[in-house]
Amino acid sequence: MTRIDGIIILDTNGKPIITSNFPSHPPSYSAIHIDAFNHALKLRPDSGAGAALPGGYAGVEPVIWVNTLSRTAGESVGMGVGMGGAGLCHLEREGLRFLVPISHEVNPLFAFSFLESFLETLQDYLGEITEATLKDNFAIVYMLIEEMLDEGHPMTMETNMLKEIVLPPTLMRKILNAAGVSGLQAPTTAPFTAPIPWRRPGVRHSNNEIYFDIEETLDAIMDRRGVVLSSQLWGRINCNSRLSGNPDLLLSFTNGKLMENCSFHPCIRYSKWEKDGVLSFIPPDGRFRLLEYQVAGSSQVPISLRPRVKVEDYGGKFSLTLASRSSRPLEDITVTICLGAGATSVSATATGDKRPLGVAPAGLAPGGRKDEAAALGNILRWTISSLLSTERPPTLTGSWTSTEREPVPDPAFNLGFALQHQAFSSLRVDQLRVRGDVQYKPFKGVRVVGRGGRVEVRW
Amino acid sequence: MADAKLFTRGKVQELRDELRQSGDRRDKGFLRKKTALKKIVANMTMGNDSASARSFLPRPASEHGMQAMAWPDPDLVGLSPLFGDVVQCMAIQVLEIKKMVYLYLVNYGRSRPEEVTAAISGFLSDCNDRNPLIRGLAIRTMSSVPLPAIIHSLTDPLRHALQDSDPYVRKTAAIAVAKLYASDYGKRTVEKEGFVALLRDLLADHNPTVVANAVASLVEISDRSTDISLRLNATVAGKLVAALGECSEWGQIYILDSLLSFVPQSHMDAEQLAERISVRLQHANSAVVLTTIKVVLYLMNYMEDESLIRMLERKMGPPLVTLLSSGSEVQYVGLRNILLIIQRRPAVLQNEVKVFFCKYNDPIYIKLAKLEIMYRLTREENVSEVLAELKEYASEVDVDFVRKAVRSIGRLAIKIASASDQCITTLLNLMQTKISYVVQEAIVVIKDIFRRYPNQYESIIGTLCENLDVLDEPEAKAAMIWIVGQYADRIENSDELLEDFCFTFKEEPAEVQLALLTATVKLFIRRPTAGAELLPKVLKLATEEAENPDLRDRGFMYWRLLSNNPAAARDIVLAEKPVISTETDRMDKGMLDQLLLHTGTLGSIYHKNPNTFIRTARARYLPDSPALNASSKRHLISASGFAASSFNRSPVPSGSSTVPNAVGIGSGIPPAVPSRPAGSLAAPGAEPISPISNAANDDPYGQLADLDFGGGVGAGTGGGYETDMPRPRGADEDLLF
Repeated sequence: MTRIDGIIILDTNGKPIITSNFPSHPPSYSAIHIDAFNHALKLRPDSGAGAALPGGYAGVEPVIWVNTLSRTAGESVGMGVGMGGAGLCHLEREGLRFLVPISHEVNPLFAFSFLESFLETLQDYLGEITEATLKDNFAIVYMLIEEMLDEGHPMTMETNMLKEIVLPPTLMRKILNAAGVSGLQAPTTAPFTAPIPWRRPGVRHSNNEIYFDIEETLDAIMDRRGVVLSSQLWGRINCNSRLSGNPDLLLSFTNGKLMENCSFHPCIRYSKWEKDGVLSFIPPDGRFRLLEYQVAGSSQVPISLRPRVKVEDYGGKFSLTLASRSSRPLEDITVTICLGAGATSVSATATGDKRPLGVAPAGLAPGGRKDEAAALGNILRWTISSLLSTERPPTLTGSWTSTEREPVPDPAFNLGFALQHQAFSSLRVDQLRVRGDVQYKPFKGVRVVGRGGRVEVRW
Repeated sequence: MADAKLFTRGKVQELRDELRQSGDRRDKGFLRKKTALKKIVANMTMGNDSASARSFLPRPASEHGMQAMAWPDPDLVGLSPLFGDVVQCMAIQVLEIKKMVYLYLVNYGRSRPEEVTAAISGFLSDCNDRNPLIRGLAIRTMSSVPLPAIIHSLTDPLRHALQDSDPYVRKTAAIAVAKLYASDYGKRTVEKEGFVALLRDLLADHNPTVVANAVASLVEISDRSTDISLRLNATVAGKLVAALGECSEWGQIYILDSLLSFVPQSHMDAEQLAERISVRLQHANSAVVLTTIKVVLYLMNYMEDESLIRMLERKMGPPLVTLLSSGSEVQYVGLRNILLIIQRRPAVLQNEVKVFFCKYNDPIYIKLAKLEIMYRLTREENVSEVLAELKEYASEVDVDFVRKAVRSIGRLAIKIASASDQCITTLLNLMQTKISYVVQEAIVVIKDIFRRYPNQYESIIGTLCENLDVLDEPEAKAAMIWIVGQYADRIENSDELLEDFCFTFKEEPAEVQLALLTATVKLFIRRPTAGAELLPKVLKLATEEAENPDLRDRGFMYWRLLSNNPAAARDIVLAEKPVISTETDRMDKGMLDQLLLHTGTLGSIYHKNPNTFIRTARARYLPDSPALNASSKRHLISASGFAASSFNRSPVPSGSSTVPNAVGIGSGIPPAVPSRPAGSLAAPGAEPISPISNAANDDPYGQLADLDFGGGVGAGTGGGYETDMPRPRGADEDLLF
């Protein structure tokens, strides 16, 4: 049985803002789940280091077990038979918590996938998802839930289709409303389930354009000597398509073989990829993720950090040396570490070339580097705007003090960086051909960026 | 109290007035009506529970022109008194208003069964609206109000909707049937009206979304029903797979899920299907990927071609790894499933252990799940890397994680004989940290290593004994005492050590007391003079002063044994111990096969059969078929036992599939309604036969089941409970496509 029970949205204090209807469950069903969730949240192991980390409430397992056996179970209209227990999937977004109870033998990923699409849709409708926007648009959120979930079965999930059924709260509409024009004037008679499920028929744009964003993220664990223990390179191609009609696209790469283990948007014709290594598809309208891939083999990490940390009583000393291993400039480099719960102050000096050696690459103003070491709370953060492999490796040396006798800093540094205009894997788009029932020449754009995702360096 | 009530009524009254006043001609585009309804919708959340209402402090009404919306009022609890007024709005032909009215009806319809009839005429006219959206909306709303009156009037519109010209209406109607089936009255209606047959017809629809919803609905009905069960044959399964390509991800999940109702009758069936769906492993949606893996794993049980199985296993690895690039929620579900999958199919990720190395800022639940997988994936070739990694973890702050890491080192020593030296060195290194819980955890695992490799590592006993002071956990203490007792003759001062432990004998938990008792006896046997003084003391403590009956019994036993026949006591106490291995922590293969049928579902998260923690869930059993391969057959767990049979999934065809070309939907309808055989879509000629009959050979319980079912073969399910079961219809009538 592939269905979820419904959806509950809690505010930052754990109070419900939106509760969908749970028709086949007793009225107390949602309250039981909310209580169970808040209880689990309270019980979470609040370890000093964990609390300061991104990812918020790290302690609670994403699927918790809720005992829904209650005395009222039998009262629900002839279908209380199913009581006994349920799984509760939850995730956090902007401090709000989204809960999806599942009382059947369902894939929790099904629930999380649904939540993800739901959140995307909300974002699309409301701009940003906050307590205030949700409350301002109660009716719309409810109608969306109603349209997306038919007693737990995902119904209309494509944003394109939804927009024809539930009108987004645009400024335009407010004006129309004020003028007394009703929402749906001429009932569309076109079928609402289009032949291509991801594309609404009759799309029109005055400017036909399509953009591809190739983004690669590098995850790695390095030890104190700079040896890469484990690394994975993930890539994704996001697309923003604003093309009229039903364009049939053919995207080819100069070195598409690099992409392994792809996961495709349903629009991609798989057989074509298998045979010719090209992406052939009719795109959805608007923003969507075209594909995700992995680059096989362990990847080079284009930056190295040599950390030396010495923990002493009530504090410690550290010395960090950064070096670039890439021929291209690295940007937005950040080094962060949590120095432990009791850390009170940090003093550090940065050395290195304030001015890049040799010829400054275009776009980089003289002295265009800013070393900035700041301790926010108990987190040490060192940021450098850009780094070249030719310059003297910048260092940061300093010490910190702590109220604890034996401070416990995190066992690893987090390293962030970006590589503009180039992917780690040197993947490149060769060409994009547009066919199908289109008479126009679209504007095409490709942007490539490589980013350090979760790179940690142990000391 | 009374005031509050009045106030509430006042609020409802206010809303009602607003709704009524807005009904005049000046309300262009029903704008005011819309605003009033929006207020009602906004207030609906509060109706659910009064606790939630408190979170909304009264705020001054915002003044955004016409959009101004009243804030949910804490005093407004029930909106059901407005029922009549809201129902009147149904006549307004504005989609937005209709949607809000329906939203209200879904929420309050159930609580106002007397008044809901007033809405029926409105519903019926909407079911005939020329806008398919409104037709669908009406069907959807009606099926969400499970009251007999509504269901009764829904019957005809629903039948039309299932054959509507617009796919939106058809797909809505398909789900509506499953919704009806959830209530008792609806269930009877569905069976009486032959809706199941109409759903089956929708499987041949040209719109893939409709096909997917129809199949989802059928799966749900067969899951709920005791006597209807979905059964697909190779042809239909093939057609469903063909529709996969054009479905949305949700449709794909529905269809893939339904494929578990297909029991391959030949190796070819399974192999072809698995190859066709393995394309879905490349899907962007993680739920699709995991569902595909579930189906492929299921089909593997029916394959024979080893090279194909290897190939599929290799294909499965990368998508599983990809799950780790997602958010921690998806990672967690993925990891729990990986753990299950690699136990049955170790080849899937055998070279990928590095992927599971923990980052220090992974949430703890992810770290623990990864640790377990790392342990499973460690082999001789990669054990050094893993050990280095585990040692790293042992210095982290999270106590639970550190303990598990240390324990994993010990388990690796036991699992991989050639690595035991390395493991011991690592453990001794860790003990030098003198961190209490690290030391204690290490001692616990070292005890097991001693047992696994007798006479190899006794030289380190001295090092262990240096750490006696830090021991404060019963498990570690008991382990240390065991070591002292076991090697009493090699530890010079073993008698003193045990004596020290005995000072606190009475305060210790039973676990430690038992260990002390046994260790003292060993000491006495190995070094009679050294133990002569201590033994009587301990025996006296155990037999006269202890309250724990186990301890007393054991004390008496030793006492008698030693006093009657010391030679026998020596043989018994110092007997060769069976070698321990890590095989014990591996799950039974049959159980694994069964759990893997639940891949990606709750059962795979908790590693338990879902029927043990969700009452609605049923245990799934791997259906037997001539194609079931030998290794799966050996471990087959079937629905044995009488009780299980009548409540579990309807039987699957065994052996000779007489009719390969039919969708068998179940063993049919209840006896009460023989007039409409449409509901009984039993596969022609394929009488439900107990799945057990074939399995019986290898399974000791199978024999039992056979007895229970003896009469069932050819005579219907459930040991003759439902004797006048479906008459199989002619094969030609059942052809689907």
